[in-house]
Amino acid sequence: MVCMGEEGGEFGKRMREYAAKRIGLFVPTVLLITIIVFVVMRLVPGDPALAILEGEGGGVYTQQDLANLRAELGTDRPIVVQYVDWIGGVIRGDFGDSLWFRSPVMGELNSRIPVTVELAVLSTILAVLIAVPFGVLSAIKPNSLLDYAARSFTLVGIAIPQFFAAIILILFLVKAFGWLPPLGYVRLWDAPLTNLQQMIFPALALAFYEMAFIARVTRSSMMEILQEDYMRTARAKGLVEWIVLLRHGLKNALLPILTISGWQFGRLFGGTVIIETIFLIPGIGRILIESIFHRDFPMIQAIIVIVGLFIVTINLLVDLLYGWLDPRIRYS
Amino acid sequence: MLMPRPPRPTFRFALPVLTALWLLIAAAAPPSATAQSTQPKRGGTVNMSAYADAEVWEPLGSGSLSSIQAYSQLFPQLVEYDMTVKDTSQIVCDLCTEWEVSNGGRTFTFHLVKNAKWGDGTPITADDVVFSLARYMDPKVPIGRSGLFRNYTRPVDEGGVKKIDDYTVEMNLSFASGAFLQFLALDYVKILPKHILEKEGDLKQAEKIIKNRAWGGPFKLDEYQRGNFYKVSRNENYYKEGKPYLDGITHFIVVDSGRLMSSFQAGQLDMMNSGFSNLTPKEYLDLRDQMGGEIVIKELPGSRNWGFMMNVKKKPFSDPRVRKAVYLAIDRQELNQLVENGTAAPACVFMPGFVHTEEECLTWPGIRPKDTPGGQQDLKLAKQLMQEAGYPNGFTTTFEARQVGTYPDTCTVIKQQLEKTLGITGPIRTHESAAGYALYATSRQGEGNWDVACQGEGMTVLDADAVMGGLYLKGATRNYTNWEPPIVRELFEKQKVEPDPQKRREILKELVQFLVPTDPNDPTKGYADNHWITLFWGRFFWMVDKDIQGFNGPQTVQYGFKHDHLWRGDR
Repeated sequence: MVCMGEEGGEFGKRMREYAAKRIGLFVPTVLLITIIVFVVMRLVPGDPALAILEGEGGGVYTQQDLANLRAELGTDRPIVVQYVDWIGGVIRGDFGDSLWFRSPVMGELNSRIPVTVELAVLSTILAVLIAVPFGVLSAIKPNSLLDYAARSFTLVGIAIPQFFAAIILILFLVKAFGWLPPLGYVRLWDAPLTNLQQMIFPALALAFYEMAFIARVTRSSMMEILQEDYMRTARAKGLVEWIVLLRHGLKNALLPILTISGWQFGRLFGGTVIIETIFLIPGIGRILIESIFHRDFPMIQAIIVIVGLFIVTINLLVDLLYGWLDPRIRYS
Repeated sequence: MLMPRPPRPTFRFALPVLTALWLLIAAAAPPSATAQSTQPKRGGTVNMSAYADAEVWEPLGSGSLSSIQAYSQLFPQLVEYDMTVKDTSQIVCDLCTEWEVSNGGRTFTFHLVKNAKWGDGTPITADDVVFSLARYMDPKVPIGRSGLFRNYTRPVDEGGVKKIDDYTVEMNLSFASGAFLQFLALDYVKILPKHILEKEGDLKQAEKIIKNRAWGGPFKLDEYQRGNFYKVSRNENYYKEGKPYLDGITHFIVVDSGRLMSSFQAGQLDMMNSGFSNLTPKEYLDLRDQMGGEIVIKELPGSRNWGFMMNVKKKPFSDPRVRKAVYLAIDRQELNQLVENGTAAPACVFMPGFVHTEEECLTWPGIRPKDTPGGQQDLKLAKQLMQEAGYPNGFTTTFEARQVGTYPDTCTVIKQQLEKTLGITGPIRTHESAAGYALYATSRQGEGNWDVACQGEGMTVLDADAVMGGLYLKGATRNYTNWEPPIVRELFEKQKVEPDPQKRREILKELVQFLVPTDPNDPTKGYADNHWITLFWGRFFWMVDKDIQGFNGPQTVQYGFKHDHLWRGDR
């Protein structure tokens, strides 16, 4: 949908203005995320020092031990002092030390971020690869058996929570094959086949909702496109049907799919919290759960800020791409 | 309108996907089991489940069970519980060859083995032992579980622990105590390499252990993937000849109970690395039934005091009559059945068998079944006490429970029972674990923001001192209101220094009579005061594959993690 009649200079100017406006919103958004995360973490009941001393089975400690540990962790200082101290470090890429692991937060997260990114990317790929053909086939054969099946699948997919899909998948694998993805995460570049065995099923569980959502959007978008005049013109020109569908139909139907896929990619990070725990994937979702249980403020803050940054960045890129593809957006 | 006709697209799409999935699964099919042997054999590896990741990799100031499960295999101890025999309450030498007791039971002299070495080749000597124990005895460090023995020892600068020669260590106690060795034998009291600690400061990170080859126990740490697994293999320089039997162990951190059960069913796990896990008793029993004879569940003695806490600083629970009424009204048999599948031991004050037997406790008012004449008499007295306290129709309160294990279930059952029998009712509030602790801690200083709560306390050792330190003394872990009548402290101090077990038991019986009613013929006797209602002594279960041999269940979940005596029977 790039406006072909637009002058190159005008296009560049409008695009730059649009990009500047979007990027200008980026910084305050991220800052707001840091403030919200920091304040909310302090409002939530629960004392990290107490959580550490109690341990899982109930620790043995005195009130003096508790006071000493609070002082050591710095949680006895005023909240503003704590925030200023923390944000200063964040700007330098230092999120502080984990209260639970007693080591730098970024040291813990460095190995985990690629794992979660791999899971999210694999899920997105699976979702798009399965959902788009599903949606297209459903659109070109409306009210057929295939369409009913596809629509039922999408309804179920949207209705079922990810954790439930994951449990069903695990039960299916155990009952049907007596098999589960191998324990102990192996990196993609160390053993690709084992990595794939470990990641494909969590990615499937994670992609279930996305798949259903994208399939529905593809179907409705494609059905709209199929009614367009230029589709009839393409057929009238004598083009082969699959060329008409792919080159003229799907290409134009992709715009909303692209937007949704970008948005869903960010949403996937939320789903990893449960999926990584169930499938034993050592990503940031899993450490987030552990950190919440242990009131590990620096770790929770770092993860939420990093994920927030990631989602805001993806939204920015999608917005820019959208603006580039659709002139109505950048002129609005 | 022209409609396209794609040729059978769904089948063409599904076939390669299903084939790829099948190939992935087939590539990872587990090997079949082989015949068993009866003699210990070296070799083989075992996959264990860990219920949580290690918090830190050394014991200083730590109370974390998930940590001790990780590092216990790496480090030696002075003494340990004997895991090679059925009665695992016996204490034997680990790094020592023998010990002598002198000075009226107040001096312990330990003679050390001379062939022990750290992973870097440095000999393990008395310097390491004194340095390690002195760290745990430092009053500036939280006592954790590694420092529990320091309640009995003299300060370090007064000879609490000292080196006699390179292979002899002496420890001096403030008073003679039978409990001292029990705390010293816990897996938490690890001996660490002095020369490496002096260089690194601590060994809290696994990376420091690997880098410095800091192990001296049966296994060495090969790999640690945080939040995922840790892998150990045989330490060829281990000072116990022929041990460990296993080549290696991989501990997978499996937090989700559903995944844990599925992994056992899929043959990915051979055993749990502790008796503490995220499974409920019902889930254990279900899994055992589903897997037939493939796994064995080892039942550990009741060492988990499941209780009902009452805030003695707030009305109406500030009235001992109300507290006693609640004590008498709770139907423990029903609770045990609904919450623990009937697996728990009766609610003796001290762990069953220590002061009173299970059979004795089952006759006590409040604990005996409610459908017996005695039980009915208890309910009648409970109602009478409520009337005397000014609550003939009960009252409304708030039941608190941490969202952990079966605490919410426990509160649900108790609430229904109290509502039915005494008219005590009200909402149940559940809290995320740390938030719950924070709520209970509000009554340490002031009145507190809670009334009653369902909470447990796991014992480190099966000794009265552990129960007192966990529940009944001022400042005890679960004594959030700092309740402590003078007689409780007096009797505690008296029994603590009593070397004769029988005399000690008599003192504790006197304490029990102060805390609960024990006369089956007269429920009005006993229970002068108490802040805690023991509901039952919950058992732990340790799941082990039938092919793992040499396993003996510990008395509590706080020890038995070295695994040097385990071997594979299917090799």
